[in-house]
Amino acid sequence: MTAEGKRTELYAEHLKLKAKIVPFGGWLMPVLYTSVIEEHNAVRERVGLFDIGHMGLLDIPKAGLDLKHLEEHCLTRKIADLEAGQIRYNRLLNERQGIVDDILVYNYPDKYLFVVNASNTDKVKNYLKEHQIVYSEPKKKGIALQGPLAEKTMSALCSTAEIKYYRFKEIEVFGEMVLISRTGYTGEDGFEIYTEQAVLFWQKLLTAGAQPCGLGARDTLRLEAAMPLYGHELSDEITDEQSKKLAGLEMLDKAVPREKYRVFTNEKEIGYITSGTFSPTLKKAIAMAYLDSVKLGERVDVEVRGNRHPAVVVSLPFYKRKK
Amino acid sequence: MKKSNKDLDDKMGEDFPADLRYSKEHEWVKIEGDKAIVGITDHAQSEMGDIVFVELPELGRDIEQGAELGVVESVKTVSTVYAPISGEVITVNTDLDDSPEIINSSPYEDGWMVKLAMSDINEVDDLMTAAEYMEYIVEDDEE
Repeated sequence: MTAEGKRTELYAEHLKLKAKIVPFGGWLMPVLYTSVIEEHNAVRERVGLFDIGHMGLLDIPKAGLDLKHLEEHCLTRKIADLEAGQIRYNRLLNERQGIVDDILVYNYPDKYLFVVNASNTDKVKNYLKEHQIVYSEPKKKGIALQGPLAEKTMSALCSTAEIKYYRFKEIEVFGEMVLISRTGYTGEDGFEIYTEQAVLFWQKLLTAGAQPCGLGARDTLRLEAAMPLYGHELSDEITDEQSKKLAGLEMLDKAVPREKYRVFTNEKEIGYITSGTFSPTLKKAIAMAYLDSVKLGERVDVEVRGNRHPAVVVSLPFYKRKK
Repeated sequence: MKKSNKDLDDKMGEDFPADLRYSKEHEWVKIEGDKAIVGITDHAQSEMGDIVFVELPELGRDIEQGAELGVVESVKTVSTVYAPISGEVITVNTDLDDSPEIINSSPYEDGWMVKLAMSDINEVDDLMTAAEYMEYIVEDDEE
């Protein structure tokens, strides 16, 4: 194997589990251990564990921070009103209103923590420098425990019952103050854990019954939940306003729509696919697309290898968990 | 596993039946008189992962060696299947329409794709034996 990239602290664990490794955003990451569908179903029905050690973490001290500039020139949503321990999804914008990255902002008493996409980490660091925003990089690395059994599985290590959705706590586990947030990228309940002992947490959570899951399942899970993926639904060229026109498509036959496939009504080209896959939960091919006009229930055609295949415009998300 | 030649089962745990011939594009061919049954190899299905859709050629079509025979889609990828041998399409495996995942579970038997009436039996000589194919994959992986 000659693929090059950075390795997370869990790389040797992935090899032990015979993962198939692929380059992603400058990193060598597990795409699957057994099968994408099996891992996908494990998260929907039980609990799965993901290595998210490739995600970028940036601490931004509040002392000296020009919060007004950050809110007015950089972010799409406010952060000043965040409560202690609250998290908010947000986007960084360039001067053309294009999306530099989509991020999570964690509110600490004395700092904000930005969790940024692996492939955008260097870009965001440069962006922050340009805006004279001071940051530092914590040593903690992430793993994500996702699925209906996540809270029960976590209880082997600590109690997380009090952490509400999009909230976080620092909890002492294995002698370390570990950051645990009730967040994720799968559409299920679950936690993202940031620790300096990623290998230890990984092993303990597997022992507690979590199934290791790769980027393949992470992609099908987030697509069913209609969560955007930078580089597909979002880019430096797409504005926050444009991104609101994202539509869902459900194929009426078995052809799988893929990124960049064109969408038509009658003979008129009306848009393109940003992400598509076979949905293991719905057992249908689904896609997200940017379409000029979106009418729910409208019949459209997706061009797959030169042939038109019928699809219908549906509301997003494709999958919503029962609460 | 099925009738694999034990000596040819490689360290990757993939299957390489000795009675088949193999192409560089990872198709297999089973010769039965002047007919050829075609599918994709255990290595190919394992690389692709969960197969969710298979596009097969029309009956009666004449296909040249190396031309597109069909398409296999997994959750993650799309792969073109090339005709390892020239011939007319006389049967296709319609079970794959509803259960494409058979290719994952049984690439050499239930997961066969197409039966061709061969137009030139000499083309079989262009294909690799199981031992040659196994060596080809190992080299490919080390590249």
